[in-house]
Amino acid sequence: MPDDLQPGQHLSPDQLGAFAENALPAHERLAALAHLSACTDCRQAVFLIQQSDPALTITVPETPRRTWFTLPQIFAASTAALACSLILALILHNHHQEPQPITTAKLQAPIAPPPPATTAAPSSTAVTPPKPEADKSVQLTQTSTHTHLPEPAKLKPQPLPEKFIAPQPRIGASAGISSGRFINSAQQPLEAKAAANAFAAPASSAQASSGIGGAVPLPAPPPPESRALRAYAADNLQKDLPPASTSAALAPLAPPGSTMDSSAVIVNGASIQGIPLDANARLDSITAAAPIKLPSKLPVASQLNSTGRTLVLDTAGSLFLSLDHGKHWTTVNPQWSGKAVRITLAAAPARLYQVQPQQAQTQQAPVASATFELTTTTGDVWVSTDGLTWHTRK
Amino acid sequence: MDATTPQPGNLALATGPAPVMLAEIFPVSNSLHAEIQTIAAQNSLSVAELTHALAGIGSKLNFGMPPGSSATPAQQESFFRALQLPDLALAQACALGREPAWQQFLIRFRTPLRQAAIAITGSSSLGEDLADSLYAELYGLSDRSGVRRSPLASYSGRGSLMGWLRATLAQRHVDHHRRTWRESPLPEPGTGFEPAAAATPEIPAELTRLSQSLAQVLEQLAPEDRFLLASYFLDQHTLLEIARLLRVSEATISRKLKRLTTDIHKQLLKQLQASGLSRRAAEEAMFTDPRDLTLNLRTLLQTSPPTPFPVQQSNPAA
Repeated sequence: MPDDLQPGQHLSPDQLGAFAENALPAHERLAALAHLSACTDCRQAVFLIQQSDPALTITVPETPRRTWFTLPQIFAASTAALACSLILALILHNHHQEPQPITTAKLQAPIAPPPPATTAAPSSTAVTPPKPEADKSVQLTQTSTHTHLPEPAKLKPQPLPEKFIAPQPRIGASAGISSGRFINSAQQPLEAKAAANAFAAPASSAQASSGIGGAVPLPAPPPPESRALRAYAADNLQKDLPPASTSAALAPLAPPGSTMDSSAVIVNGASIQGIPLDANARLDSITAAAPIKLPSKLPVASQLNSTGRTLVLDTAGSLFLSLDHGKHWTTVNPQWSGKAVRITLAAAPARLYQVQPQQAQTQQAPVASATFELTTTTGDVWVSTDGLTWHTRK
Repeated sequence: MDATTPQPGNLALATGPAPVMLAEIFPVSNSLHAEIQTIAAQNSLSVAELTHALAGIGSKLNFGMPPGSSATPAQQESFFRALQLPDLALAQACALGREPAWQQFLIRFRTPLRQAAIAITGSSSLGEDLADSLYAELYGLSDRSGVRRSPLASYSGRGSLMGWLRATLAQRHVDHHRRTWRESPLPEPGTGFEPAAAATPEIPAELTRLSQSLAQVLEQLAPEDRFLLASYFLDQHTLLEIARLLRVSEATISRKLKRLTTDIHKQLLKQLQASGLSRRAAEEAMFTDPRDLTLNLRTLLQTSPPTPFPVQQSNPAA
């Protein structure tokens, strides 16, 4: 150390050079800093070293401070949000498209005399117009029981679930009604609906001829979409049911006195075939999960339960009747030709509106008798009211 | 050139040219020993000379460990490996007066040394004069006993040899300023430069209390904080210069200074309150004009003699 710099008081050139080059160990660097903070000469010397060294004049790049909202961060966040939205949309889309088991679906439609055509094979693509008998009965009903009709609000059909409307183009197309028409007609007043389709034309004309007009909206005959819906529900509901479903139940929610056919379809999966929705046709729980032990020991091909009578058709075409909910079975003698393949339930629609004077006075609900229909392999339809005696439908 | 002349810091020369291996003194690996052999041969040095130089440096610096702690063999080897062995061998050879080493030294450092001197002095002529004067000094001057002493022997090899040369140049320049700044001409009579009055006014008690509190606060600062304050407020170096020296960013120095002044303000308030002032009185005392204080911050922050540079003479009461 040169004598000029007072050895022992100042940093040596070796220490200064090493300090400027950051080559001192930590403890010696602290000691050098302590000396530099107190020694102006050494401080000036070390700054001169830095000034003379081009390598030491390189600016230390400043560490970029973290900013909260930078373009990459915003882009990443927006991308993540978009991806989440797409995933959610896909999930919801698939959730809507997959055939879900129908848990509860209210089918409300104005009670109308279901023409016999509705009891035809649901798979048929043409819906036959109602017969003149039904029209007459409708006229009678409208003229005689208009004071007991339900309120117009009750007659307003509720919007149907899309599950029952959307897959309907086959029937709708056959009836000249598009699927969108189903939705629209279901939301229209009855009069408009009745005038809009051919099936309701007689009812509309009868309404006009009776002078009632639109003052008291009478229950119109079931619109074709309603009947088509019933036929579809009877025919195709089984297709839509998931295999995991085990039971099905159809129960009308409307009170017995109501002329509205309000049936709550609670379907957990079962073989439901040809079940027309009818107010008085109370279909009790049809539990497929509980196997029915038939005398023939054969599996059940078709069954229905109405007014305490349970009719079951096995795979061999034998028909059995039970009056105690399946505890005891009675074999119905085949009065038809061919093999019975299907039994359905059809109520006489005209009778639903035939309210007897006594019933009108006591405000009791009209009682409609259920009609069982049996279809054979030849296409003949046999009808019965008690399940034992069958007649060919005319 | 007498290679057997004892040199300070050179154990090999002091104890004789006996071939001593570094591994016999300190446990080093064979690779390091082979490296030492190669470097010694390249710089006209024997292995024993370089080995004893390394041994002396290791013992002097305690192998880079704090005083009082002993270095393990691994730490010793890492210390040796961290040294600038080629520069150290060249410096040792130059200190021993080996002609090939001096030739190599001049080839390597003539131009950089001149440039560094010019950069330090800020003048080409002054820089060349400074560099030329250094050559003679580096070769060594014989003392009364006739032993030539070269400052290159004090080079430890922790930094580069060029850094050591720059530091030497800077010290020489500072020493030159210290000797010449007093030679400035005296001001003309009647220009306003009058000696200070001998009678000092009575200092209020509040100012005395403030001075004592400030002195206590500054004494408690860390060495680096004191260096920052002295470099920025006393020497008036820029943030960039300080940042380059400490190898941090300029913003870091700015933040440190801001935090430092804030802490000093708070601690000074606490000190004043601890000395008996109320908080309001302490806050009012903080607005005291610094020129009213007899406190010399320079004397608090440093203990060195008066500064040789004009920039350090401004605002003595700061």
